[in-house]
Amino acid sequence: MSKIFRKASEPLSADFINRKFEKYGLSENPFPITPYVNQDSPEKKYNGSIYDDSIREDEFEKIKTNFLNISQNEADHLRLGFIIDKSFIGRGNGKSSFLLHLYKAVNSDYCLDISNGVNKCFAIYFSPDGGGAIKSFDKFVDNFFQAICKKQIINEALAILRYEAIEELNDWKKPSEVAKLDESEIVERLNDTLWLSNNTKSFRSVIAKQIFKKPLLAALPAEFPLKKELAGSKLSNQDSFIEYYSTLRKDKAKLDFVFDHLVALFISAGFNGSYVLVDDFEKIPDFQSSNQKKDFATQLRTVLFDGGYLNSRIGFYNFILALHAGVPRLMAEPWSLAGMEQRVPMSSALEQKHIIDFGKLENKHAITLLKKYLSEFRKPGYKGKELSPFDEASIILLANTSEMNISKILKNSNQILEAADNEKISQIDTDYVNSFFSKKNESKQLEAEEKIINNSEKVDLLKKIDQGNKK
Amino acid sequence: MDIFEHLEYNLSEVKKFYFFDYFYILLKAVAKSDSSSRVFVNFQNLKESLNLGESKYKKIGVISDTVSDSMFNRYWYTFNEVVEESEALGLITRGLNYKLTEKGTLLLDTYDLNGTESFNEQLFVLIENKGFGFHYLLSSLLRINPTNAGTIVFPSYSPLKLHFSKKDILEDNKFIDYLNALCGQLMNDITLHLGEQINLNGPNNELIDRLVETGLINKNYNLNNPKDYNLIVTRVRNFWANHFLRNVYGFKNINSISNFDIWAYRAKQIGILNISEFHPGINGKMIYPTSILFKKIKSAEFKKIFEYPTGEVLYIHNPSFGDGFISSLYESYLELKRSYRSYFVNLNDLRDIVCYKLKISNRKFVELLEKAYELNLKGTLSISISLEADKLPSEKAVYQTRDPIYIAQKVKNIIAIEINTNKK
Repeated sequence: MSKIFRKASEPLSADFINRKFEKYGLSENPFPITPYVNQDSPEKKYNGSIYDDSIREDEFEKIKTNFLNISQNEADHLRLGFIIDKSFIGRGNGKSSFLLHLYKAVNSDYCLDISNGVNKCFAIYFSPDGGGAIKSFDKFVDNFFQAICKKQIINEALAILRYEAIEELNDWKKPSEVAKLDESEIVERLNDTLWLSNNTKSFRSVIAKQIFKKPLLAALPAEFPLKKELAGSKLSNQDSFIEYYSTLRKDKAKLDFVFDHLVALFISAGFNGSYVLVDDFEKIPDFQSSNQKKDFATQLRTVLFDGGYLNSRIGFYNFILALHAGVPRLMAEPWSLAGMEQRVPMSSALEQKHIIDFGKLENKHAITLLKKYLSEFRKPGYKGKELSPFDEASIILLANTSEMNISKILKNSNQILEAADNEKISQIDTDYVNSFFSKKNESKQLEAEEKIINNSEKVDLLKKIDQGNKK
Repeated sequence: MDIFEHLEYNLSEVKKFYFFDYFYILLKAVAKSDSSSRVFVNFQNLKESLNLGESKYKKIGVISDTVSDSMFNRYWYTFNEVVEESEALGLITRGLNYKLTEKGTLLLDTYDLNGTESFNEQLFVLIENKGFGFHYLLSSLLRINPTNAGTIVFPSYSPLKLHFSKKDILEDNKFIDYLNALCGQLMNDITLHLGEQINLNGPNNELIDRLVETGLINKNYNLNNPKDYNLIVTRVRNFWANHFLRNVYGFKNINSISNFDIWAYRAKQIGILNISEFHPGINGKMIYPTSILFKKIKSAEFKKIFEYPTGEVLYIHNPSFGDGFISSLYESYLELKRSYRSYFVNLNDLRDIVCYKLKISNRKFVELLEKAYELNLKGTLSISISLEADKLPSEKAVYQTRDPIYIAQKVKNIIAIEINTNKK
């Protein structure tokens, strides 16, 4: 018989396949093994999408009140803010997932819902390249521009501009067809040369002329990618913007492009602002010399507040930098040398609107956190207790033993559930948590510890010489 | 026979500045300048660029842009001290213009070619030849406390340390109680560190009399003027430091604690001894040798830096990287972790403990830690090390009071260590 039809004598039973974590009413171990947020991971355990609003409600409310709800038309709306981790370890407190959540919340309706229609703003999220790759502001701008492109916001702005221009010209061949398109189709089609020429009555340059009736756009330089369409060259899209950006050599040209020309494009497309969320900001000053820090702070000041750029005049981009507790100290001197301390101090004894303190978790938050993860992986039709196999007391103990650090809590939850499953424990109570941690600490750890410590000695130089001479 | 007695000690030619870098900037300034007036200006600029201050620690950064009169006077004083000592060492000559001697030119080249360490060592040889001051320092330490490898402590207790608040002293008239408590504490410390019983009641009365005489306290032993609080606390500290120096430890050839500090902090730069002002569990300044005087050493773990006419050789402890360092590092980390009750501990504290255990200089510690950190990144070490630039919330100091630790060109202040279970 052909091997393709033969069966194994011990096929995997359905029971075996579902065995693990079945008894807890879970489809798999809900907790991540390595709890670091990766925006691009397809797994919800890792990409920051398992998120419960209530845990960081205070922080979110503060951003809402002081940033998202304030009209971009207010001359002194906040242009720079900090999310500062108060825990000195500063890793794994949920800053990244908070930022990603904020990013999604703003972009889901371009902030229109949150601000009651006052602001139409998109959000950009990025974490600067690590390992000392970013020492200058120029490199930081490169990262920023990449993030803008990742959001596909340029294509969207171009689509909006073209759509409006065609509407104004009353240029659609079949308006009813166009009305049926959904959001992503609109963005795609209006950047598609073939589709456009099939569906509109006039030439591209006519549409482009209509677009450039907007005063902000009219002032752009001739080499700006969209402007080339006036001369009838091929349809520009995000790729042509990226290509153009890569030809910009001088710092000044890049800054003009990002903080002036692009701002004009976005405003003309109907946006009145943008929230730029920079995660792990410490990656930058950690590697900078004091001069580099000062230059960085000065350039940030220029593009945000007092340079000649359109952005400096109106505050289109609002930067929110996430820092760990050590950064304000690293930046204190350059910050004051660049004159930023008076405008937007990084640390302050007083409550400041632009500083969002990111505190330690409380017990109730730890419970919510675990509940959220468990509920994401419950088997359909599960009717048991929400926290099972944990209970409130055991979660609080687990969280406290993990120093209330979210990342550690999740990692330990993963391990304890694995261990309980292996030992066929049905209920993870405080006794079990205690025994888990004492076992974890004892065992191999202790042995290795002993071995290393036994080698330690207090050196007496005279004796050392004696030994050396004897050898 | 005491082999040391053949050396003629002369410690008086040392001038009042701590850093060997000062010699370098003076030589550099003289080499660059065509006129005498330019030398001082160049000297000042170089001093700024190297963050050299007048204290035992380098400045953190630019503190003020303008130079006040008193600052200018201080700079001028330091400048002259450096000039005089350099001239005495034969590095420069002073005629109409300052000029580098051949010796000075060679030394300056050494710095530019071989770096600070060789420069300092050559300077050390010049200074030591003048009067064997470092020999005196080191042999005194070993004489004072032979049972504990020459470790000495200058204890220092602020009123607060002995549970007297400023209010207790100023309003509740408890200054005399502080002085008596301090005296008792110092006697305990002597017993603890030297294993001797020494009565300090006599000197304590002498201190009180002196404070009354100078009008700082009245006949009822209370402060005459609350504004003098800091001044009096400093006076008390200096009195005891001087007393320990002269009477308890018997340094006959050094006349004051400030001169002693100059010698000691210079010796620290060479690696002859180490000084720790914040050693966990010690209140005050602890000094211990990281070098040894011996006839002949085969071990490669010691580096020869000077040979005396008596035939003795001064060796600096220069251990190679190995398990001993890792063990001490980890054990000391666990000790600190227990008292901090947190995962990360202060790296400066850890350094102080490890240096003391291994009898190495701060610079050697950084060198070994850097090596360990490198291996740790490759995963071939029995422990895994995590270094961060964060500060613990309790220690947001403004002024630098401890040598900063640079690993891969970046300052690190906290460290956590775990057993590496995935060792390659």
